[in-house]
Amino acid sequence: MHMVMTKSHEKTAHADPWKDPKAEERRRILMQRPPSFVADIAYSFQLHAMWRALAWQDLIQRYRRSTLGIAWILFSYLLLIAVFVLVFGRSSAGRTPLEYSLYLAAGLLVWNYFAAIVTKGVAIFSGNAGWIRSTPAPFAVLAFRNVYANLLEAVVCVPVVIVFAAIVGVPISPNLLWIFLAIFLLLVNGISAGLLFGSIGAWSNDFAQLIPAIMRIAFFATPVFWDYETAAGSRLIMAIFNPMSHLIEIARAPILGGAPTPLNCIVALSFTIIMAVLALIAFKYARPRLAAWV
Amino acid sequence: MTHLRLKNVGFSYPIRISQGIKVNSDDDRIELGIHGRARRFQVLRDLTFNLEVGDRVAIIGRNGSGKSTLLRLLHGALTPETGTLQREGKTDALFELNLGIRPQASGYQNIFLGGLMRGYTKPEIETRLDDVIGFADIGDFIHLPMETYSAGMRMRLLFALATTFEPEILLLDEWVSAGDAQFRKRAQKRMNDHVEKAGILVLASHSATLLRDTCNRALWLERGRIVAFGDLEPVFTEFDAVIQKGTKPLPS
Repeated sequence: MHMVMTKSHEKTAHADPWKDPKAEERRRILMQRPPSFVADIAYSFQLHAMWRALAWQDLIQRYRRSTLGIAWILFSYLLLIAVFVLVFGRSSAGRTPLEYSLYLAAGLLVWNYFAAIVTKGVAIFSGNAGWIRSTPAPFAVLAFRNVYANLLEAVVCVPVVIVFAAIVGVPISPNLLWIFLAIFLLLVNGISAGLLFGSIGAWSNDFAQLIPAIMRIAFFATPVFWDYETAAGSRLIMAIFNPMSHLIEIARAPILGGAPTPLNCIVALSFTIIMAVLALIAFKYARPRLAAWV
Repeated sequence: MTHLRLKNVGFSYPIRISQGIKVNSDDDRIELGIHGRARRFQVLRDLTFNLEVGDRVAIIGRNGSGKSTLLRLLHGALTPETGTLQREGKTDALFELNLGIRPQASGYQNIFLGGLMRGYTKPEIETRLDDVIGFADIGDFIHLPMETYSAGMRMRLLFALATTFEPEILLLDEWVSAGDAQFRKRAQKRMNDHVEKAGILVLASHSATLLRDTCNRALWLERGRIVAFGDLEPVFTEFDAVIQKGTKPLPS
């Protein structure tokens, strides 16, 4: 919309898009530390061209010096699936190795995304001290960039899931629409996790050490490679009380041809709301201090 | 109308407990916590002054007097802890040569990132691309990663960036150290043009020639407080006598 407007201005010979008072007003607003934490998040969203560009740079630079490049994402993902199928393939109840592969591929896709969001989220402020001290741009840009960068990585792996689903023969049904709810929840939780853990991570360095350890434990406590349905005893309790398992289930169930249960939806939605509230509280408190902390 | 108004502005940095070092200091800027560990460092205290259109202000003071922190507050990257700071006008800054760029991205890509960081859209940045590249004048290096640049080249590109987006308030910190004479001349002209277009310039530097050539007012900082603020020549002469020559005691 905005770009179109700019272009039409260029056609009239003398009009300079730089002098457009509307655009100028927008820059003036965006280029100050926003007056409130809500404005910070809203302005950050408007600066989408910036965080998309930064996330894209993150992705390219991470794999820049490697020969395989971005294919490394796909390779390590496939390798992990292969290892789990070999080790746990038989113990998975009632699934053929192919079905188990699809179950794993879908679960890992979501898990990898969320784990990366959290572990990198801790450092979005503390790891960008240079940026924070050199521009008054809103802070939440860094949370959006984190989500977008990890979303791009996840997108690279999506074809794997589609291929497995096609081989297994998952029917195309309205159940697939649940995936949109899953994507929405994962994006919102991604922003919340960045703001919450980023704020705490900027305040305390110990937190940054703690998070990878917690995420490793959480991986085993979440039904990603073991089965939700056949779990019994302590495992079942872990799966039920672990909000991550419900979030993953909302994405995974439709990929396997089913639908998430009402319990999945209630827990995942409640978790999303609680995360968002915690994130807003932490960000509201941390925001005025961030530049001095990092 | 473009202006900067500061009233009783103060700012301190926290010193983390885990890095806490026991200090025996009578420096009243270091706030001590339990067991005599340093807790906070009060960089700036009680700054009150106004800058209006046409002011070209030199910030002078010894190392550690708070010049850079003051510039960051004026920029808006740091928020005052106490007091109020009113800023009216599009602000741009050139502080350190490593900040605000992505070293692995090319100069060309960094121009776009810099423009996006200032709220411009890609098509808008494209219209000034030639201007930035032309002013930086670093040849084909513009397409190489910025980590391959010399300090001088980096400075050229960053200075071109900071001045291209038509700021009304321009803040510069010690930038001149890396430029050669020919570039300094062009930079000087660009700064003067900028101030004539109804702007404010704030420049922190130790170079007497540069300050005399560029500025009309001076703000003298000492231990985070203002010693003097006024026309450049008297303030600078006093500063020179007290600090650089040591022939006069510090005014209290």
